[in-house]
Amino acid sequence: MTRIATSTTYTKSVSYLQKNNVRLDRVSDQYNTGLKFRTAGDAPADYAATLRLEKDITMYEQYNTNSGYAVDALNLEETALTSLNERLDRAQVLITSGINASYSQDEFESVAAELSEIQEYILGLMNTQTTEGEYIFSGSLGRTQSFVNVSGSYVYQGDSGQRQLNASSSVAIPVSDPGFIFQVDTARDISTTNGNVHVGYDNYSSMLQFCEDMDRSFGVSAHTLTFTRDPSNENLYTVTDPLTGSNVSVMCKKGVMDYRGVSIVPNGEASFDVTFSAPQPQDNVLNSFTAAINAFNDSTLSEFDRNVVLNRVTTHITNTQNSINKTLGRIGARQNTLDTVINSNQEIEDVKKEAKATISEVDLYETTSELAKTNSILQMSMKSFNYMTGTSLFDYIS
Amino acid sequence: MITEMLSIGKSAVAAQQVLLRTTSNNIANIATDNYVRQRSTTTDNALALGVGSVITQRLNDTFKQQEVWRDTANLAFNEAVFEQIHTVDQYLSNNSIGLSSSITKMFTSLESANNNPISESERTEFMSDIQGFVDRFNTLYDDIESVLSDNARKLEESTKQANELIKSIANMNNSIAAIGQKHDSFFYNLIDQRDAAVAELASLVDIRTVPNDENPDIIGINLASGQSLVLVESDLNQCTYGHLEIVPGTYDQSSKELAIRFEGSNLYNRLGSDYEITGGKIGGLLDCRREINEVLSSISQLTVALAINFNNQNREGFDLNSQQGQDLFDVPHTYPVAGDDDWCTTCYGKGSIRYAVDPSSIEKFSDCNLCFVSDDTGSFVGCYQVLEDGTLSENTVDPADFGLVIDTNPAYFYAEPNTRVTIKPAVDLARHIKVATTDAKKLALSGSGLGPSDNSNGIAMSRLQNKPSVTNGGAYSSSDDLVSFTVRYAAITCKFGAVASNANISLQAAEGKLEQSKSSYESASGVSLDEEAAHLVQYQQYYSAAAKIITASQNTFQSLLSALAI
Repeated sequence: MTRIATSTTYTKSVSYLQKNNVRLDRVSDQYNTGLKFRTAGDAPADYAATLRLEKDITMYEQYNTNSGYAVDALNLEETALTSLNERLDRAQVLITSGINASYSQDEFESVAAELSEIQEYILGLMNTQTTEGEYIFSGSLGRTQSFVNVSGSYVYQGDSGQRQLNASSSVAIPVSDPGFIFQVDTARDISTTNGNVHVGYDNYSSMLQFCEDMDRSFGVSAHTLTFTRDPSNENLYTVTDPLTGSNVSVMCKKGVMDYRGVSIVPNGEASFDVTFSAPQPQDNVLNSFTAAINAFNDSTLSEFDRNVVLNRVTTHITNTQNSINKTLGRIGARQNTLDTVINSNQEIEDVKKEAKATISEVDLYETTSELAKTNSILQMSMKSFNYMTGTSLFDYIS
Repeated sequence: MITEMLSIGKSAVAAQQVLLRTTSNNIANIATDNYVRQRSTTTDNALALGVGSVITQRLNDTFKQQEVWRDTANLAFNEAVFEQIHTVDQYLSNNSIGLSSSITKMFTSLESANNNPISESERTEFMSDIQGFVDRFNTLYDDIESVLSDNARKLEESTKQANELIKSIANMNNSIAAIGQKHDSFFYNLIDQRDAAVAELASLVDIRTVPNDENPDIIGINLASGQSLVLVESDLNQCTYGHLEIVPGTYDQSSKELAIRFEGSNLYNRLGSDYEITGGKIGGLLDCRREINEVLSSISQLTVALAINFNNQNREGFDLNSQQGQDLFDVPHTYPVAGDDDWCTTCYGKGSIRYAVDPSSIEKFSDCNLCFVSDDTGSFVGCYQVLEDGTLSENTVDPADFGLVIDTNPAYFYAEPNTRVTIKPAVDLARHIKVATTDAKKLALSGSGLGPSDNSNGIAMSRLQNKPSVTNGGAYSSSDDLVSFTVRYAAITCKFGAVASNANISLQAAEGKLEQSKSSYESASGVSLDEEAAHLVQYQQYYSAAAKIITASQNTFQSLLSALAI
């Protein structure tokens, strides 16, 4: 039979009480904080997992903020480009109406006035700024105005930089486009050395096709063709087609002849040459607007020469609109990617939050019942203390 | 007959008085620590009638007692470890002290700066967050360091206390020897007191007691490792005793070792490195230093690697003034830091090593310590890695494989003959880390040759968050060893958390074990009040009966006188 020392009874009972108190304290902590553990020592692996998840959750919240920025930036650019397109449509209508229309000089000048307003408006759009005053079309030089008028000519001052934002840990989305999207191909020039002859194009795409065919055969450069009047027919000219090498006859109708999209007014000259220029440097549409406005305002220009200028302008506007549409397409694609990424970020964040909760947070029902249980265990050990120590033989002897 | 009755009664009353006295003494000492219950027994008189002699015994179970002492040492060891480890665990895990959230904060504000690279306000937030990170690291470093200095102070105090106990045990042994073997309560109280001192000593160092062959009341005391602390000399009249001292490690002066010196000798005998002491508060304090130093190295490595990675990336880009980026963090590239007056002694050991961290191979920078060994002319002949258990690697290592460049200029590279000099690159460099600039414009977000609205370098910098760029503890061998900063910090806390968790479990086990062995010991040696109450009643009745013998003898004598009435 084991002998029980009195002090053992007390120390054991006190030790039980302490253990149960510690347990109650722990469960009460869990109940009040909602957390399963407080330090890495309580649950090393779970704690490490929680740290990583916390970082991920914070980062996904940040990616959401980034995506918000990206959406705003892309929307701003989209709005600017869409308005630009609308204004360019209007300009195209005005200029086309000026070609071949029998307007009076006053009417031409009022068209010029409207074009001038459109030019101002477009300049403003091409210099779009964020609320912080950053020029969105200046590439990486956001403090520099994108397009400025330098002695009558509009010049791009930015660079080719492109802002990117992290939409997730692996996806960076471009959220800007440099002003180079407005620097597009201008029409190739057509000219003659004969002062009596007038040349211009009336169908730019077939002329461009012809130029590019010649570029392929003879290298990218200017190409010169010689037209010779038929001695027997003053309305018939002969030219050697450089692509086939055979002679081609071209008929002059009402003083104008058409060859490969080019209109020529020979004015009865016996022989003259026509030069198709090498590709012209890319430029922005603002400078073409200036050319169109000047053409409308210049009352000394012949209808033919005015139309030559206006045709070049419409070609440039078309090229600009093509570039804008391409850019709008890219913006749409980025917005789609962004939508997908935002959705998947949200889902991943939810999953991570849930994972973190599973690892680090207590189940409330479970904890409540655990709390009640621990509390009654403590009460039991208090009662037990009373039983164990409440009786002494000394109470019974007198 | 009457005279006989009187003497029987007298001897009986005296004997019952002793029994009552022993019982009372037991009851009186119910609350006395280390009191061993005594029991008096009577024997009959061989020469005459009546009680012969009363022998008082001390009901001590020495085997169980030794077990209690061992378990006391074990509990004290685990308590000391747990207290220190738990404190560090709380520092690492606390969200407002730990590094994790401040690293994440840096990266989120970097993202904000990337969203708006031209704006200074977002950049300013980032700059204040890197300051926040450095502050957080410094605080954490100081907090952990303060645990170590608290540890050193406790070691000193505990050693002093142990020395006093050793001395008093030796003195009490001497008194016990002088009295000789004697069976009375006064003698036993002296043994109780000596054993109380032994129990207290057992809570400081793990000891083994060796009862003397000739007089088992006298005990010699050894450390668990076998080293004598109290030595019983053969003539039994005098005990000699050792003096414990905490001394700096042989080749790492920041480490601590336990040493012993015997009375009358000036020679210290090192008791080996920290890990050979396995018990008691002193053993626990020594033991946990290794874990705490290791975690300090790990967080230092993480901080240096993070700082230099940011610096490297910032140098790739251009700042808001279109200048090539500079360092964001001021990490001393060379240690000892220039201008550090006592730089020779900041290397641990008697020698000097000057080294630099190579930012271009920062991925190799680890939490490892390196040890340089000198030959008998004082020239360094090899560099070894200090392994986790404090021993050196079998083969020599190249410091370049640890991202370090050693300055072999003899003015900075020397040692005493046959010395080992340890360098702790992570801790040494991290301790001096500062923020290099508070100018928000210096954050180089834009890429090479691009304007201030560009953020391509900022995007590249943000990629550092998930880029495996720091070794996950231990030496670098291939890029497979690399993990991201967050993963590294999680691994550090997890590893230390496991240590803390083990410390907690060991503590609970030690508490349980001691409780059990104490209860077992007490069942033999402890006082039971119920038992003593019964004895009290029992001996009172014996006493009354013995007194009746005297009364009877008196009555008989009176009857005789009356009969002879003249």
